[in-house]
Amino acid sequence: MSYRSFNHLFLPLMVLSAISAFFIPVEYTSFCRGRVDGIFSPIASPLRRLVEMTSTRLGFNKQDSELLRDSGNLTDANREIDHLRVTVASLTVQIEELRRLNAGRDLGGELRNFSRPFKVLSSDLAGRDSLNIHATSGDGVAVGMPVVCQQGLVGKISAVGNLGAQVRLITDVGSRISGQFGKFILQPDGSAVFAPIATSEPLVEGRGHGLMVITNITMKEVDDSKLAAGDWIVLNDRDMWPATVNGQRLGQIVNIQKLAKSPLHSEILLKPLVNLDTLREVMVVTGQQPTAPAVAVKAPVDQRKTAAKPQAPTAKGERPRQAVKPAG
Amino acid sequence: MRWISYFILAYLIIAVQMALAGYLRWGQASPNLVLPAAVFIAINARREKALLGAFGLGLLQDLFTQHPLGLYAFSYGMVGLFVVGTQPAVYRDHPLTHFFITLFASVLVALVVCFNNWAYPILHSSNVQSHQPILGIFASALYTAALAPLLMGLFGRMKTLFGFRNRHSPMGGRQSISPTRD
Repeated sequence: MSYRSFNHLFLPLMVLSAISAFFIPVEYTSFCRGRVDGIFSPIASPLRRLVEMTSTRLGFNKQDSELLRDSGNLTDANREIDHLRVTVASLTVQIEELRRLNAGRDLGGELRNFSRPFKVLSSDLAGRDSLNIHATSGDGVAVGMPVVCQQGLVGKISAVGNLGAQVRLITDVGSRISGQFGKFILQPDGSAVFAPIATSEPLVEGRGHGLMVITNITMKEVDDSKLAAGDWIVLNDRDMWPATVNGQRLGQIVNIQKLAKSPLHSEILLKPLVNLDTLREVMVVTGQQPTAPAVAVKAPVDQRKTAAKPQAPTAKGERPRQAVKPAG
Repeated sequence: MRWISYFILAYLIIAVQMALAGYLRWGQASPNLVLPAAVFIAINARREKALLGAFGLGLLQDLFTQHPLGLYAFSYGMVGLFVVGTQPAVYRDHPLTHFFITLFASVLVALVVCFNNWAYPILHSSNVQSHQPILGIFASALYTAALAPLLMGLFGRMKTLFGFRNRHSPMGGRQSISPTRD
């Protein structure tokens, strides 16, 4: 190919890519995402697992576990309590919400009943905050579905195809969510109650690299409401998110300072309780109760009924831990 | 250049980047392992294949990010144009060459990304500003450049698999690709 004819090929390619990058809205060009993700999983998945194991052994993710431990002044064994607290916070906000909704119009209750687990393939390849997951359109996953993990809200499905899906994390730049501050208060009888903290509606914006920020709260409000590092922020966005995920934990306050541009306003830095980039598995809230996988068992006719028991849902791509065996 | 080797390299480097992304983050800086591969292709292959190779790697990377589609393809095309232009003037196998060319390429990509972050909300009348921290973008560029000699040294050991033509060979290099300018 001559120099000139190649230029005639390459120049239109560059112009097309520039038009796509700058002028065409990202919603129109994301159709091709999620189409090839699965092709890379034979190398990416085992390598990611290996790296995860290595980093856990070498203690590189120690900071995250300490953050998790510090969240409620709890010790190591109480990870489950932390999970229950997320559920309690979520349900507290949902009760308020459900009072306003007609029965049956939207979902409510424990989130795990309406979500499906999927393995994480990788995080964003260009430094943005997103995850590529092993979910496809055939799994009932659609754009806009919320994604959660045990520690709270993760993000939203931004693209889905035949071989994968992308999740835009809540910490991604440009992500905006309405929230609600809250903290757990110990009652005289020893029980802990999630108490929302009254402020004007905080707008949680993603800042990238695992951070979020709130800048629409004044310093006076911060002082009046006694906001402090360690307080939670939970989702309270009735317009953009389904009621099921309202109240899910977004993160906790790590720092409060005066906003440089406007000293009367505060800059509240927030962080999720886990590094969302390195999650191994996430739950996509599909809104449908997961069905137990069909189990083919070679057994006598009278024993089949007892053999096929429903199992807990496993992440796609993973085998169930215990195979069902015929009785006897 | 043998395209089959190129596709294997592209597959492997994207898969490795997918696996390591998130774990290699250091503060706000996260390396881009695909860029050194694009620079490696651009610095060694003939002009046409170098430009297409770099553009293709960018397009592949675009499929796995939240950035608008085409941003990295465009950036890597620009990188290809720059690196191809430096081919006659640099010692291709020297680690310092790898470092500085990748640093320049990373800064070029960072500038295009920053410009996109600034221009995209204006062009689309969006009130949602998607400003990535500029310090983080340039720290990532430096991080990528620091890893480049290591990666490109590794790629250099597999150079024969790519079948790059020597610059001074009778059929290769500038003799065969010299522009037929009027």
